[in-house]
Amino acid sequence: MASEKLSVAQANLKIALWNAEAEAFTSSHFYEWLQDMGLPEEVVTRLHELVSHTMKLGEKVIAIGKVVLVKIIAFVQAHPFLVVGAGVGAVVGAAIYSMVVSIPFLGQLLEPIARALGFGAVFTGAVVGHGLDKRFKDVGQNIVEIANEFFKLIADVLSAVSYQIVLA
Amino acid sequence: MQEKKRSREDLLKAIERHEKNPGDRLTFLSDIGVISVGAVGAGAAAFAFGGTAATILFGLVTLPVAAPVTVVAGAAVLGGAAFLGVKRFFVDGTYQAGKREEMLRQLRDQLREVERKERQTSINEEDKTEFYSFLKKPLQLGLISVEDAQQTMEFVETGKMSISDAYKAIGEILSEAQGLPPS
Repeated sequence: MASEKLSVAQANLKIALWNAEAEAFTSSHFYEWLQDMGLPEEVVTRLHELVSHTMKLGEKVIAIGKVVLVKIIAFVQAHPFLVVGAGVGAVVGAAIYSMVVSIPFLGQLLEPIARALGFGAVFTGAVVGHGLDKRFKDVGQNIVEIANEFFKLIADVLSAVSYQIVLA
Repeated sequence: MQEKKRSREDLLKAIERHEKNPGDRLTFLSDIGVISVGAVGAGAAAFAFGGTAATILFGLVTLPVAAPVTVVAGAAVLGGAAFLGVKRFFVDGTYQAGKREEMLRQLRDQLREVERKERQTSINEEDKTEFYSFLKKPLQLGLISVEDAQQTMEFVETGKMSISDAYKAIGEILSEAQGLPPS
């Protein structure tokens, strides 16, 4: 089932599964994982604040913050060599920007984390890579491309149901 | 985040075997990957991000010792932000507010855990078997991916997802495929 062919009902099932998975983890689980990643305390605190963010999808409450955190942690886990080469800050930064660009309503949730990572205001499109390149020489655009591919499914799923979403 | 991928045929065969022999739950759970995923609760964390993740992530903490220039430069940039965060944490009183918020979060986590356990014990095996049979049709028609079907069964089995939510989600997919309005 290719992600571009996702129907609304299929997207709803995906979100229900991601939500069930994310809700099984406690706030402390997330805090420990974020600490273990070796990120600065300010970034850990900002990322951990996502845990309490929810959204309404139709009649259901979805722990969107936890879902996003699971995806970020999975992205870091899936790319150990990228982390070694570019640093965990760059990898998390690329994840954040990729989601902000492809899922605009997440911008208000993720903007404080982008600022904590030292990227300032939210950029769009290719400027993201340029912004990362300024911080982490010559790797920005490549990491953003990898991140875009990784977060394509969540972007497709959320855009399929975006008309039903209300951020809490 | 599942340990072993099953094919569509594997899952359909597992459901059919279970329909014929509902008493052999252990084989079924192993067939759909719930047992190998195993240890609900404490093990859930390890399952989601895997044993290797912990090693890699723990490894990252000591990484800058032998890190390339980019990592060191990145760490320096991030170090400034960290200092700012720590300062604000202690100076402007967010510490107490953060503590209260964390206690509330823990309370909510505990509540969810209790609800999950209640869900797990309130549904009998027959209900679950019926649901798995219901799942066969969308799986055969390719309306639901193997990964999603496997995860749905696993979450219903472990109480992470209520059986009514699962029915509703799968029912919506069937209604949509048949051009009917969602029930």
